[in-house]
Amino acid sequence: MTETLVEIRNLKTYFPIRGGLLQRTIGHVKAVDNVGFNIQKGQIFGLVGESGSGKTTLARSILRLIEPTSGQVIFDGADILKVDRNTLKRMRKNFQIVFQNPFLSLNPRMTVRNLIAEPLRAHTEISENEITRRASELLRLVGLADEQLWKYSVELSGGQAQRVCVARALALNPSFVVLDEPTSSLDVSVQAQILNLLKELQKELGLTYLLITHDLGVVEYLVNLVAVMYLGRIVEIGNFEEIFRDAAHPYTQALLSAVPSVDGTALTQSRIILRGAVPSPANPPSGCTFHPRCHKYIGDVCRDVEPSLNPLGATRKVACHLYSAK
Amino acid sequence: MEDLVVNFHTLDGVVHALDGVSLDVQKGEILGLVGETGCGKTATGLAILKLLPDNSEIANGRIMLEGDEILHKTEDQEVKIRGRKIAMIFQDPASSLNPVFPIGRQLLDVLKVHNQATDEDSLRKLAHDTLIMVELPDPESVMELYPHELSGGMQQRVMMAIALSSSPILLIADEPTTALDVTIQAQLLVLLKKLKETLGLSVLLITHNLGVVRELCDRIAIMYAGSVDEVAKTDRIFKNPRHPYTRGLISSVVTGRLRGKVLHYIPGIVPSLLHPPQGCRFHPRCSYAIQACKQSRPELLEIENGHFVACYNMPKDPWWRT
Repeated sequence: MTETLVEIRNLKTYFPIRGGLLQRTIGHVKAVDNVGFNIQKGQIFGLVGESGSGKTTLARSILRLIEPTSGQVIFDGADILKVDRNTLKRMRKNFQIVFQNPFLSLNPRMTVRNLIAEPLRAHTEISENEITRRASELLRLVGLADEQLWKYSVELSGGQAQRVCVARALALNPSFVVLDEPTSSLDVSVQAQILNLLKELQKELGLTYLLITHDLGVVEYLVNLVAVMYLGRIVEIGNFEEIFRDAAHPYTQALLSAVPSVDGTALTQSRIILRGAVPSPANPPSGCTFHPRCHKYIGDVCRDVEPSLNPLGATRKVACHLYSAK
Repeated sequence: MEDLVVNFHTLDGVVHALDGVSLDVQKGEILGLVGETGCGKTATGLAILKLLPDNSEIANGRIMLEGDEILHKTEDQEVKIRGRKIAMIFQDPASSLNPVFPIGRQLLDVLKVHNQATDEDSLRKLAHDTLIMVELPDPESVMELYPHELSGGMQQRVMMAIALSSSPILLIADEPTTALDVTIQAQLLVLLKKLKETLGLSVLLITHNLGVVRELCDRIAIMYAGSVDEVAKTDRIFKNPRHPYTRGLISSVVTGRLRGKVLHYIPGIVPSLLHPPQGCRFHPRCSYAIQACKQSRPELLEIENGHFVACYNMPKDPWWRT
């Protein structure tokens, strides 16, 4: 029934740390460390984690906006990381990205029409009249009126600007869209509008999303599958019900319990307060990288051995010695 | 705070940032001041400390601290209030700390200004105790560190230590956890609550995060476009909000419980305060607006014990989101 659209295998993105007199590489920041998962067609895949956990680097590596160190990203049968520039350009029509801050993504010296025209000019050979027609069609799709075509981004509100970014991402009929914190810079009332729009578009156009966010409310509302990242690795992955109703990894448990809820459902009594902060990815702890903060530390094995991502039940995988010990 | 009016003079004209804000913070309570970007939350906090920028004027109103009017004090008297009786912490702790001095030096500087004791030893002891109070491990070594050597959460703890070092009676916390990760936010919220209880501290917590206020605050004031629209105990705000804006705001928050449903949102955008709408500033976005709303501004009236609402046409339909 479900068909895999994007397959990510053993993806690693390391950034060199240079130092010393000759600026030699003296170590690596393992921003993405051996990550693998599949994104099914028509699904919304959520990627959560705290700042510095590698979410954005992972997304950019998948789209090859950053060159990963090693691994495979298979899209439509071809490995994005292996193809030559021309093939990559052709493939890029199919995967687009929407960033957190719409004003930084939109050139302030271009009109909305020209912003939307850019991808059309780069990838197609349609006439200027056609471009205007297509641009206004796209604006309507994202709930903006035709008169916005001739505006500059500074004349738009945050919500409107983000709609333009969505319109531009959809200009070439992509099948896969990465949404990197698409609502984090917006006020709550506007955030809800954009989420409604994204959900509607996904249904209507049969899109597949990779949604990156630190807002767990948004994730629980929208996604089908969730991967939780900590220091460049996936610690737990599963469908949203499993993760949100019954998180297995101690980090997932703490993350979920840390969110103050408007519904008053957070059990303040059972809240897990983690010690300390996320360690530097340049010098991660040994063994399980979460062990110094873990509230379920079971002994030397956590400190010494790196847990692998093992199946727990039919659809879930967890990287924790609590489960591999049994 | 009574009927506070603050204007900013800008090149584009006068921005009517606060339009008659009345608020009170009780002893030992945490009052949450909630609203969207640009609604005047921060201006309210800064006005209390008289830290508003030069292009602003306080056109009207009174601010009383323990029954004492503080708006028209001399500079000398102001300094005694600011920092000593009222302290403030900000969203980004990294930009509040001086990057070229170690933590200890910055903390001692503040202690020297606000304390009678002058000998280095007793000041150091005081600094040490304050760092313990905000639960920073190993205060002696923290004092030797520079701000960039601390994580965001630790920096904010240092800011709290500096703010609390002179035992203020009121702490204004402006988005204190917004720049931090959720697990660190959780640590700080627990600390803030504990400090309130052990020190009997009053806190004005400025935030846009409704989840944070629900967990932490005793009472909540909802602000929109420069005025306070609703004030009530936290439970009441969430269980029976009466102002259409409050309802809109709470129902816009996305949670897993809404999965599969279309999200509610408030149409339109926050108006420019250069030319705010006549009458109730929310009326152009309000589905309950009536003629009266366009003509004059509704007053903040007590509709039930301790529950204040500024609205001519409060929604009568039942509130669905508990």
